[in-house]
Amino acid sequence: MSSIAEIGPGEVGYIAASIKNVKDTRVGDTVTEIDNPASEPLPGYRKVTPMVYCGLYPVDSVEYDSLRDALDKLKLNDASLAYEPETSMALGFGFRCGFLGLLHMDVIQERLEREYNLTLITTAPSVIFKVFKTNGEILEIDNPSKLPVVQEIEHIEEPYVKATIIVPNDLVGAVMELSQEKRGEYKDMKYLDVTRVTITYHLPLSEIIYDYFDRLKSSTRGYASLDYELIGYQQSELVKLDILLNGEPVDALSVIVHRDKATYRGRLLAEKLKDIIPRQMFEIPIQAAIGNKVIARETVRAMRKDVLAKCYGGDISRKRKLLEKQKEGKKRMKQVGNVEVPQEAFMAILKMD
Amino acid sequence: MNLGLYIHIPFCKQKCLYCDFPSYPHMEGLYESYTDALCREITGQGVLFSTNQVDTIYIGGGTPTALPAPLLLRIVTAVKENFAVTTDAEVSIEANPGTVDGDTLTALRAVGINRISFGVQTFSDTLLKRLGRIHTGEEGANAVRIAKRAGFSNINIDLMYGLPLQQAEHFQQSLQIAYDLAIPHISVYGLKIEDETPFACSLAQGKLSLPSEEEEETMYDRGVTYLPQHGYERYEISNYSRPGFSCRHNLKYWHYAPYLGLGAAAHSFINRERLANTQDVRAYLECINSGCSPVEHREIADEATQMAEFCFLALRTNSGISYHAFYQYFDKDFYQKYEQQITSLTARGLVTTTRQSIKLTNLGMKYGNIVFRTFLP
Repeated sequence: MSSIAEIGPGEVGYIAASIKNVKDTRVGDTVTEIDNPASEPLPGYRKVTPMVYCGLYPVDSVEYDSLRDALDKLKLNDASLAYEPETSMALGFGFRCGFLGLLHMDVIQERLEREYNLTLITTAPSVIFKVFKTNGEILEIDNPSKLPVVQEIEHIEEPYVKATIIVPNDLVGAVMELSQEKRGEYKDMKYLDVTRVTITYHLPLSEIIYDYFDRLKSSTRGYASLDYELIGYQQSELVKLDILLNGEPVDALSVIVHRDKATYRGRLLAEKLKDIIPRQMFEIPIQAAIGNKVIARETVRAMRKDVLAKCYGGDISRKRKLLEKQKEGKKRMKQVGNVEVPQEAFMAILKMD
Repeated sequence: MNLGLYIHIPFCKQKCLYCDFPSYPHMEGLYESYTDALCREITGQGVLFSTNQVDTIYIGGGTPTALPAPLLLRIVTAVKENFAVTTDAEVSIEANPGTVDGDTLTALRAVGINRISFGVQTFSDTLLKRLGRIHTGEEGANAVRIAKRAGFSNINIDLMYGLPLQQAEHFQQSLQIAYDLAIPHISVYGLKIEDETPFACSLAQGKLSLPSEEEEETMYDRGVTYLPQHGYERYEISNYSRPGFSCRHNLKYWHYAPYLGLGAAAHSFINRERLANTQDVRAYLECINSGCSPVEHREIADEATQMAEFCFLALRTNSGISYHAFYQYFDKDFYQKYEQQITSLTARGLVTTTRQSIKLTNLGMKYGNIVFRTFLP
């Protein structure tokens, strides 16, 4: 390695700038000199702000410190990762983390589990809602459980994106149908050439982070490509959908959804949870509720019995292994009240329609 | 310490549709050579364990009584000649009700076998047929009578619930018949569909009409109430006996006591090590005849795992885990080690404790796995 006077596009090098903390710098910063300072940063760079938030909780609460250390370390080389401690009634101590998008969220979660050997529960991702309260206060809510009670809410705004979809012209119908269903507003359609079309929609970000991309891909046989950028906030008819397990609301399962879809989502979520939550010694009612109104109810039937059949000399090792396997499965479950809830339950809302 | 001997006879007349045990039909040609090999293993091991007293012997299978009586007698004689068998030893043999006759049983009794266990499963002919059993319900009852006439007083039968087509009434009837026959020991098992059995196959094809979970639970509950009401003590999760008739050999498994397995597929537990002989009969014969060890697997679990085994095995019995026994074995205080588990399990009504021991409640017996899992490291 040798010292050079300038470095151009595509080249790799380093400068020593006495930066003490990685957090002080970001990708896209302008580098300047003290003796010859630039008056303005270079144009074209924007600070990246997290768009998607979710809760990360250790399944075993003793791993909380390890999780914090792991996030600190990841943050060292990923300035776009944002996190702050939060507490959930159901999940205990954890962090609310902000990500650039779903892929970013997935990557971080996987790295935490694989590189740092943590077992985590991830709550369903949420966007930042702006809540205008009747007393004039404006709240930015990144966690559905923090939504104030209905009486105090004047209205709620949610982030919208301009989504640009490029798709072969014979699949335009499928894209429009999906986007319409996802509360999209049609804006524009242009032919790029004879066979390819660009469609522009304004869509709520919260719909995109659910399963928009997956469904876009599957309904267009993989041909569609999607690009989106934030365009601002718009008022929406949003409500909080709560899930009650065994009569107790589970804050980590709450989601903010559009009023028109709340009943449908609630019913689907309850059904889905019924399949995900394993049978336990007692019956577990699962209820979906908006405010005080229960809109769906399912029941996880009680496990009738759970006993190793016979166990003589030759069976012991095998039985032990069976128990070990069962216990391993348990490790990925969180005790919520007296109900054991598996990890995937908290993401069930994403895999629904 | 006294030693238990387990002797495996890996043969049967016909494979039952649910069976995944190491047992093989249509091997009549190997009966003689298997007996020879087994006797050789007995002789060899007898030398190694010459200082141990043997106070229980269990001949299991398969169907031991598939072997002709003279071969069985040779095996028992070989054991007696090569091991220090105590005079009051419990010597059990498993038998299929379809393979016994008075002369054989009298001969077995005469050679010192004093406990016999019949795989009756149910007294209903329809259900037996569906299981692929070779005997009828009446033959089941008759086998017990023959055994009594041959001088056996210590008799067990296996009964099963959760069988295809079985209703709670069927099971109740079988319990009743067993009681009427005054059988002092009854093992009650729920049918479990094991992988790679004909039943697993039928189930996958939707051709097996098993009782619902609720019906199966009803049958389980009937057994749990009926037998104690009729003088049987539930001394282990699936074993019931009249006072004084619990199986001393099987108790060794649950009490973490040593046992030596002889024959193909036999398992041993010696000096904290678990060993298993090869399951393959021909491989077993080859090993023995060429003077090699037939042991295929051996494992010494780490201490934490041993403790877990100790706990879940002891908890299967109605005396539970004795703190003293735990301390003697591991030199650790049980209560200190498992305080958290004990508190949580007690709160959930799954275990009860005394100053000396911890045991499963009736609820805990029903949900045994939940309890057992918590002791794993």
